Amino acid sequence: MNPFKTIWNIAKRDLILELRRKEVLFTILGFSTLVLSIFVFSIDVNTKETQKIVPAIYWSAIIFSFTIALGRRFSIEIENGAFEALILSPISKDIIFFGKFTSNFILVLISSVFALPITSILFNINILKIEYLLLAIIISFGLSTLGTFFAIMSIKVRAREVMLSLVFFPAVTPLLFAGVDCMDKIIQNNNFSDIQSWIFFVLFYDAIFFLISLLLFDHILQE
Amino acid sequence: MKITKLNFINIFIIFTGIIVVIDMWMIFVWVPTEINQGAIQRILYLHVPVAWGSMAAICIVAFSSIMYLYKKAEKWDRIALSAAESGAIFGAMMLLSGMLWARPVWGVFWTGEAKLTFSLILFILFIAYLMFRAYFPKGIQQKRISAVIGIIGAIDTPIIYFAANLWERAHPPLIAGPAATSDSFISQNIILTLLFSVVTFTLVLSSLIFLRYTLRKNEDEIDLIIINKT
Repeated sequence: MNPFKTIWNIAKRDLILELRRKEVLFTILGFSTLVLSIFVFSIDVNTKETQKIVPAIYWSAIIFSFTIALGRRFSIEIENGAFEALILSPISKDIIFFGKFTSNFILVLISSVFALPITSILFNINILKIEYLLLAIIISFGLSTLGTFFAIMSIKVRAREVMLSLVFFPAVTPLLFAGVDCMDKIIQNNNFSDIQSWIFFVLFYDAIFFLISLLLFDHILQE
Repeated sequence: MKITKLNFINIFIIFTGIIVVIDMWMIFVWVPTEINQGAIQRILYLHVPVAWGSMAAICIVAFSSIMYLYKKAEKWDRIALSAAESGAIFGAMMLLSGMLWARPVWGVFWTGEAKLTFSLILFILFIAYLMFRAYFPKGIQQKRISAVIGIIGAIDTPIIYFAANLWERAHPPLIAGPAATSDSFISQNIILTLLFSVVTFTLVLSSLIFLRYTLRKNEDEIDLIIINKT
């Protein structure tokens, strides 16, 4: 079978499941809105100083909620034995990784873009810009690569959600740095050249970890 | 009572002990007190070697993890585990000594500086490696997944350091203290003591890894006996 079609089939299955249950999207959106609104309650949003920490709040909210959603998503698969069946099916392991990655990527991207207007409204700043979309795409790429990899890796471990965040957070700190700093600069109406080095850095990070995940994926699935 | 044989590991540990005593004498007695910072500067001779040790440990973890995935020999997995445990101890010592040093000199325990962020994440990676190992059901898959975490952690650490440096350019560190303004006076004796400390703590790290390695080997043998009996 055409490998692209297989990848799309795996991703489509996840997305259909998501459309019916609306679990991950609602987790990410609900949780991130909650985190954002807690900050709105606890700090004075209209001062210049607090506006500087909005990017940090936004990205922390996205990363936290994505971790929760990942844990949820893969626990459903394990409960019903779906993931085991997927591994047993006669398709290459890389294609499974690609498929899972694609569905995660689409979900993170949608939710991080959707969380933008919420942040914009709650904190009274304008962050709806085209540079931001590029940033969201490349950061979501990195987040979903490592997220998919670590989520599949922690399928068998006890206290799965805790273990997932324990390995996931330190590994994606560079993306967090990049996201916060770039967003800060975009809010301050800086040029594209200011965030250029970060963009290249994130692209480099994405490429490296995508390759490593592909290389090591076979090892984490072997029984 | 049977007298323990003087094998290589025991001789090595005794040798390390003697070196540690000499090093402590050098740090607390021999080396002159630094002019700017006073006695507190002596933390340098502990802080730099343990930081070096924790970085050496993550390199050992990464190398032996790669060798484990490649060769599938138990030996490499044991070395990786021993290095990770010793590295976690060294990492904790690095953070503690660094904070104790930073408080009187910089006026704060912690700042968002690149090296600090990097060392904290390095420490968390060691903890993640060990916790993942402890929480995973025993078997070959546990060792393989630990190796994968070790490799990813080791690749991630230089990238984190680079990112933290990029980040810092945007937010210059707000460090103001006596050490930030005046030129530090580094004498020949200070460098010599520092180098000797680095060598000492490398020996300490190696003996910890050696000891943990033999312990792990014995644990595996006991496990094998239990499996054979049941």
